[in-house]
Amino acid sequence: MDLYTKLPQSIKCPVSQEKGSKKKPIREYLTDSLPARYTGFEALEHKAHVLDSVRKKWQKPEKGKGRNRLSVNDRRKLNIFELKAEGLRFEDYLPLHRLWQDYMRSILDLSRYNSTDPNHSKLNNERLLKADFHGCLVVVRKTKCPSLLGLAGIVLMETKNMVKIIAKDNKIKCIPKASCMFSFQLDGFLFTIHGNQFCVSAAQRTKRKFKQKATVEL
Amino acid sequence: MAASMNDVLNTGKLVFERSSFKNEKENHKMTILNQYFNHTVQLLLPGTEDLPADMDTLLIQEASFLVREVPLSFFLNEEFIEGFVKSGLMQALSVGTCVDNENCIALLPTGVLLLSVCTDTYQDIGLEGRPSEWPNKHVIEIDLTDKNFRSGNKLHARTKSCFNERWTLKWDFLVNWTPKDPKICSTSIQNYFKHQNIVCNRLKFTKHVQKHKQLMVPTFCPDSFECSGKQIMQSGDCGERPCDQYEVFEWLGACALGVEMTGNGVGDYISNYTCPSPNTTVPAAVCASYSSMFSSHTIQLLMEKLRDFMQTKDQRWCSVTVHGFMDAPVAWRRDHGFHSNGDNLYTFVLFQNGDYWQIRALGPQDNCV
Repeated sequence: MDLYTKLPQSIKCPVSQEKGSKKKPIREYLTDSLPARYTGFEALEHKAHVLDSVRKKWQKPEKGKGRNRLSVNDRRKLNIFELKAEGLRFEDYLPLHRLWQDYMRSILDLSRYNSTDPNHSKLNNERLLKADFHGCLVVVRKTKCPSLLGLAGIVLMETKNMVKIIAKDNKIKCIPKASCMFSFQLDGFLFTIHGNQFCVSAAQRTKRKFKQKATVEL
Repeated sequence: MAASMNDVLNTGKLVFERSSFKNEKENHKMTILNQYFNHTVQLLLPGTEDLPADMDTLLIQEASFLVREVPLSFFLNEEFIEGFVKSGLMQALSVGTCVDNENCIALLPTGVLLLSVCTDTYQDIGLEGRPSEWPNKHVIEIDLTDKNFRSGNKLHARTKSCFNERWTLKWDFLVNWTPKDPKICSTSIQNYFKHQNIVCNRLKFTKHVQKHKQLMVPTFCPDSFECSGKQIMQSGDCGERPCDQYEVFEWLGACALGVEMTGNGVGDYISNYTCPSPNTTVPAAVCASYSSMFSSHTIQLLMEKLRDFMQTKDQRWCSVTVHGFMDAPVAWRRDHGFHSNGDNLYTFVLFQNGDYWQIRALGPQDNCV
């Protein structure tokens, strides 16, 4: 009868054709199911290991696949928070400063300062709080530490507690925000930032609601 | 029902020392020479009819000047530093500034420009300093005689830019200069100021002399002082328990103020203070008070003249009180503050055998070594 005939050649399992890789799938399966602490199964030769409840090794998700942010370690590897200590020139950042000035002019309507309505300047101040100050030419006006007074430069980086600026003599200076009062000028208007009220990172500043503190003393 | 005195504010300190001028350590020089800014000198000579002429001339001829509208950049002048600060004892004190809540400037005879500034000013000017011993103030000390302090030096450049651009206020100063070279007249400082177009006038001194007849004077001797662990000794010529240092000091103050002590004592309306007993009556005494700005060098000379006077005239005792300025930022090389008062005065009571009593009265915001 036809029930007992052999399978036709075309539908036979292709694995059996690769005779060399017969042992390999088994090896691969075993390596995967071993816990991470065993380096190879030579260590298990005399030990019995249950293959039933094995935790899968944690696979690092690839970049761009499902996670949009960089971890702290990734950031450290990419050196996002590092600035070259030397080799940067003040003149190179003047175009950035001009760019920043245009950006500021577009978000602030400076004619509002000339109006008598108090709400107008309030609108401007709220915008100032959320603005980005990279590229701003700041001067330290008042400070608890006298050696910091008078430092002026273009802001290269702003973190939660520090402001990194490049001064005219091409030196990078790190200024703590909490002990200083900064000021910058734009089109004849002089703006003052009280550093001790401003100790928030630039990204957080867009979301955070600032409370009015009792005094503006340093 | 007396109230407990737990939270009483300190209103001052009294420091008593007893020593001899012949002592090798010469502590009296420390007291006199370290107190730079002296305002009033009061002499009391019991048993003398007239004030000795040499002491009078010494105090009258003190060359102190009042200069107006001087900016701080003046003190950084090279010729000023070389010609006056380094070649003598130059001192200056800002006038009309209260030391507890305003900025005070002082140039010490050691060549240090001392700025006693409020916290707001300290945060504005950018010169390195230290917090003062007394609250809400910082002290900035700039050593003008430092050989590195000249143009080309970073500190000098920063100080100069601060005084020329950030802090350009003008002050009135009391100025006094004692040159090292005795041939140079100390009034040449006035010519220098006039040359710089700064108004400089001789400081008017006030002199007040009171001659007493039949003055009651307390009886005491060099050993009749009270301190912990020591009783007042009854030496032969003092008789019964003599007056201690507090009674003598109080009596000296009453004399200087001109308090009437001839009354009955109890029952008088204005004052019932009398001379402490035991006391003797001297036929004549002279009480003199001079007010100007005296340098510590002048006081030292005065002290030597007083010692000679004691030797020649065979006096039992005499006293001299020197008051410092209430608004000076330094007293005896430490920070001086003004709380409820700004006393920083000292009294020397000189005895015949070369012993002396030294009593210092300090305000609450004062620490002296």
